[in-house]
Amino acid sequence: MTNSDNPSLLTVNDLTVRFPVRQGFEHRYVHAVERVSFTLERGRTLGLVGESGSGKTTVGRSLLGLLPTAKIHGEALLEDSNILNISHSHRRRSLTPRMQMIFQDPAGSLNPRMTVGNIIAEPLRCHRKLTSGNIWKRVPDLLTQVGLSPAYASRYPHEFSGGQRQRIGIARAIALQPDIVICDEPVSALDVSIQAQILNLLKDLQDQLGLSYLFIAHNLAVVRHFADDVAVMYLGRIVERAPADHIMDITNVRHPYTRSLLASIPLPDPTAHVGREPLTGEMPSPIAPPTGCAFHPRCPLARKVATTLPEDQTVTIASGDQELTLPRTCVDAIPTLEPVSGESHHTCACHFANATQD
Amino acid sequence: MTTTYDILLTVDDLQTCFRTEAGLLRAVDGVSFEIPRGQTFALVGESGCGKSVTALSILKLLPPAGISNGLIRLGDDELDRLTDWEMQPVRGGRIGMIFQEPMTSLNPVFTCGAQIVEAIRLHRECSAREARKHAIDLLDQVGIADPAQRMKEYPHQLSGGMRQRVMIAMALSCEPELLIADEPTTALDVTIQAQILELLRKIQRERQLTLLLITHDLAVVAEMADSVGVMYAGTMVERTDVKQLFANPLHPYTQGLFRSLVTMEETRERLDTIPGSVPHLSALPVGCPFHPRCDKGQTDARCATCRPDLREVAPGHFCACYVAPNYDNAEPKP
Repeated sequence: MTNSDNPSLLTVNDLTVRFPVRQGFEHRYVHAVERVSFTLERGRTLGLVGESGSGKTTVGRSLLGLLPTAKIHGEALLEDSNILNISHSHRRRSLTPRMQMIFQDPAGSLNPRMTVGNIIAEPLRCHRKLTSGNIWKRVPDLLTQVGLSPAYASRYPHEFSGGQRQRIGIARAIALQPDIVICDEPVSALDVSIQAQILNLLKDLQDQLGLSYLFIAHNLAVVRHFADDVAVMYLGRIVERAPADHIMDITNVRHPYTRSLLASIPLPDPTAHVGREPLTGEMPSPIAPPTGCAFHPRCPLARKVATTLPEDQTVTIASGDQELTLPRTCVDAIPTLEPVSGESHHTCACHFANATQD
Repeated sequence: MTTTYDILLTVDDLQTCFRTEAGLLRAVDGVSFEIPRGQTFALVGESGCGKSVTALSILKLLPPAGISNGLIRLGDDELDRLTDWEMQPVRGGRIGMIFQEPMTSLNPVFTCGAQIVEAIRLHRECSAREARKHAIDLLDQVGIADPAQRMKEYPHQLSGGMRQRVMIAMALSCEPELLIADEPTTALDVTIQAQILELLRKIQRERQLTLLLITHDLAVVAEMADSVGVMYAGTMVERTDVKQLFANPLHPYTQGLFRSLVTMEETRERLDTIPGSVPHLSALPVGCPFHPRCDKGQTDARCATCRPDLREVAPGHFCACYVAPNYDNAEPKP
C-alpha cells in the first residue's frame, strides 16, 4: 500500500499551542502543545498517542482552526501553503474541503434536528457548486460506502446505535473527498465488537480513497494495529516516534514513558503474571510544567540511572511526599528528539534512551 | 446446589423490566449467579446488555419505572424482601458501590471530606471528629497524598484518578462485605487504570472483600476476576471461572468478543468482527437473542424459534447455546 517516495502531504514544524488563563491577577498560559513536529505522508496513517492532557487532541484541532482562543505558533504546511493562523474565509475556501475530522462522541457531533441525509449533504452544499439533485445523488452513495442502507437518509441520529452514528460521522467526513481526515478517538466510545467494525471500515476507505489519517487515541494497542507510524506525546511534547511495526516489539521501545504505557495495558490472559509496577503519580499541570524533561518526576529510568551516577551529577527533589534522587540532566535540560541507533525512523527524547536496554 | 464454601451473594432468576411507552422492556431476563466470600465475579457485556441494571437491581436503586423480581440473598438476608427503608443500612453499609463516572457521582458543591464523613455518620454512631479522622485514614489507605488537605478540596479540583480514589474510600468507609464496581476504570487513562486496579486488588487482599465487577473490557476481567458471567441482551449466555472462559470460550458471542479484541501481539491486517449490532430491547429476535449475528447461526433449527437456557455443558461451565458441545445432554437448570 505504501510507497517509499511518497511526497509528504502535511508537514508540521515546531507547532506550539498555548491557552491564556487568568489565575487571580496573573496572566499565565496552559502549555498544551510545545514544539511538535511531524510529517504525514499521502495515504498513510500517523497515530498520536498519549494520556488525557497530553495535547494530542489540541494538535488535531489546531490544524483545523478549531481553537479560536489559543495562541498558535509554528508552521503547518499542507503541500506548500501554511495552514496555521490564516483567515477564516481563506480556510473555508481552500482548506476545509481538504481536511476533515471524525469526532470521538458520535452522538454529540451530529445535529439531532437534522436528518442523516441532510447531515451528510451539508458539506456538499457548503463547498461544492452542485445542484440539489446532484447532491442527493451523492448521499446514497456515501451511505453505502460506510456500510449503511441508503434508506436511512430520512432518519434522525437518535434512531441509530453508537456504531452506526460513527458511520454517519465518517460519511460526512469523506463527503468532500478530503486528503486528510483527523480521527479524534474515533472508537474510544464504542463497544469492542463495534470498534473492530469501525477500524476495518476506516482501513477500507483509506485503500479506496487514498486518505491520510491523523489518528488520535489513547489506546496504544489500537494505534499500533492501525497506524503506520506512532508518535507518543507526554505533556505537550512528542517523546518518541517510530514506525508501528518497529515498536510492536517492546524491546525496541526506548522512552521510559512509552514503556510504562505499554506495561499498563491489561492483558486479556488470566494466566499472565500480574506483577507489573504501575506508573506512580499523575501528569503534572501544563500551566507550570516541570523543568527539564517533563517526565522526570514519574520516570522509573531516571531513578535507576541516578543510583549509578556520581553524586555531583545528581540532584534530590521533593515529589509529592517523597524525595527523589535524579540525574541532574533530567531536571535541568529538555531532551530533544534524537535518532535511536539502529533504526533511522525511530526518534526518542530521553537523555538516557540508550540505557533503557538493560 | 451444595454450599461447600461460603456464598456471600446469590442472585437467582433475576428479572428486571421497565415500563415504557413502547411497553414493558425486559432489561434483565433470568440472570443467576453466586459469589463466594472474598472472590471477584465479573459481569461482562456490551452497553445495553443489562449488566449495570443487574447491579442496580441488587441495590434496589432502580428508577420508578423499573420492576424487579427474583431472589437476591446477601449472607442470610433476602434483599428482595426488604422494604426501601430496610434497604438503607444495606446500601453503603453492607454493600459499597463505585460508579463509572466519578465526576457525576460526587456532589460538586460539597468537599470530598464532607461527603465521606456523611457516609460514615449515616451508618455509624460516631462524633464528627471521629468520622473525620476515619475519613483521613481511608484517603491515606487509597493512596492519596496529603489526605488532610484533600479533605478540604472539591471534586472539580481533583483529577479523574483522584476522584475515583475518593469514591473507593467512600465505598469502603463502612467496611462493606460486598463491593460493586460498575466500570470503575472505563473513564480513566491506561496508566491510571493500572493504578486503580492495583489498589482494588490490594484492598481486596487486605479486607477479604467480595467484589462484583462490571466491565466491558475482557482484559480487565482477566486481571481481576475469579469467575465471569457474559451477558447479551439481558440474558446470561455463558458463566464459568476465568481461566476456563479464556482458554475455551463456548458461546459464539464470547468467541466473537475475543476475536474482535485488539491485542498487543497484533499482526492481522483486518480485525474479525461480529456483524450487526446489539438488538434493541423492544425488538428482540425470537429464539436465541444472538442468532441473527451468530456465525454458527441457525445450524440448529431451535436457534430461531426457542431461547436456549443456561446449562452446565462441562463441570463448572455454563453456556446457553444449542451449538455448544454436550448441550443437549446437560442438565436443563444449573
